[in-house]
Amino acid sequence: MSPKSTGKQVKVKSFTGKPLSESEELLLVKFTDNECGFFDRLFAKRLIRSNPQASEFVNSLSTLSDEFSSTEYALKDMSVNLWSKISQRIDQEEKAEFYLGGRSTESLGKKSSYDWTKLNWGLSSGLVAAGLALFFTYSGIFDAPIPGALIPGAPISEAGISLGNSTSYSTAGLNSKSLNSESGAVSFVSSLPLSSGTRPETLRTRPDWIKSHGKVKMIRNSEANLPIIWVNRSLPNYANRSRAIKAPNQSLFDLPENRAANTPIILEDKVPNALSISNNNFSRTVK
Amino acid sequence: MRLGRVIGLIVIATICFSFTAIAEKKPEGSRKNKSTAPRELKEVVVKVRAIKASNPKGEETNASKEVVVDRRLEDINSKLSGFEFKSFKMISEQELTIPVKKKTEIGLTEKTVLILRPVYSEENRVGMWIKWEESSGDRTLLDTRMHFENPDTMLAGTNCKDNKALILAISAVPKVTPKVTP
Repeated sequence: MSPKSTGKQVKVKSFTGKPLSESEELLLVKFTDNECGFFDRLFAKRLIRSNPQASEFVNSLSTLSDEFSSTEYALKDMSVNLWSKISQRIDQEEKAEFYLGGRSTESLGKKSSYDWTKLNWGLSSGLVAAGLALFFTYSGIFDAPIPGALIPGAPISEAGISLGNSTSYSTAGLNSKSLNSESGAVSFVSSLPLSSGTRPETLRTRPDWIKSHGKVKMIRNSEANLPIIWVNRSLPNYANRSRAIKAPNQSLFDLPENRAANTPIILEDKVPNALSISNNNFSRTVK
Repeated sequence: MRLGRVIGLIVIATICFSFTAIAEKKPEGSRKNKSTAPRELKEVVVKVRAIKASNPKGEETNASKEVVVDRRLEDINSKLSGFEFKSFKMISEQELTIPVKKKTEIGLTEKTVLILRPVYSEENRVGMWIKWEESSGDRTLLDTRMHFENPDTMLAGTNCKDNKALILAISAVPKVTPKVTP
């Protein structure tokens, strides 16, 4: 509550006469408040008689004190009944404590400025992401062929081509399946696993992937269930490819008698064509 | 509250790891029982035969229409008929014992190099990475990873000059090391 304002402004002014020093002003303040001793009172009275400013100073101080006194009385006269409001508030607090529980005062120590809620959510999301990453990594969903890294016994098949038993062959375009052009490497990644019912007793040799800078063909052989790979590479150094094929040398091809047509001919061992070497050196080319 | 969140995080992590373990695909043929699992062998015996093919089919001559095959290629006689040539002569034959996961280079004719690296070796199955490239290293003729079922032979061929071809017959069998019983 604020005291009633009287609208007057009391100022301590300095009038004509010798200006008062600070010690004299303090003496006069003490005199006004009746706090001076015997000798200070004599000096104060003498100063008031001799200096008109001193008397005015004392008068202004008296006026100020009267003003404050009137204000104090005004405050005392104001009839403010707070007890009813306080009692109402006490009742409200008692009811709230009954229904909602008592108020808990937090410690007034230093509060942590770190938000632990965000940290928990971050940890949980990180763990979930890590679990998903491990799941996709080790489940082999996005498994890509890597040279030298193999899982023994893993079922392998070529996309659209089954190289198991002859009954499980895919006849669509298998005979002359050519892949891409000579411009870049060819990737031929296996994707289809063998179905559970078609896995033969003896799996045949099969590739995981085939890459080449040439044109790759998978040749099907009716007798063999093995992959025959043909790479057609460009030979820029040889211009006359249409050169006529020379007739085979009769001395090299020793034809046995009474042979049936279209039967393979086995050369005799005495033909000095093939060489067996036991080291890694380049072999002698026979022309 | 905080303890509950920590417990919840642990449960989520456990569930994620358990899903990972369940979803991990086991390859066909792998067995849990150690006693019945295929023995992991250390070395692989690789046989590489370089074959020169000539006389393409379609360019008939007066000589013959029969297919002529080197005697030493008798075991793959039927497979060679898949190529469009009538004459097959073996140029070189090499048999190497290569340790698993070791790389070996074999020099071949027509300025090519064959790089072999066995990846695994079991009783009846061998996995091998095969790279056939030119000696200069500029071009790769063939880069593949094969699974050999004992005793299969893989054939790969490429064209050469004068309408000829170079064919490789590659076979890989595991080398069985007999155990010495005390």
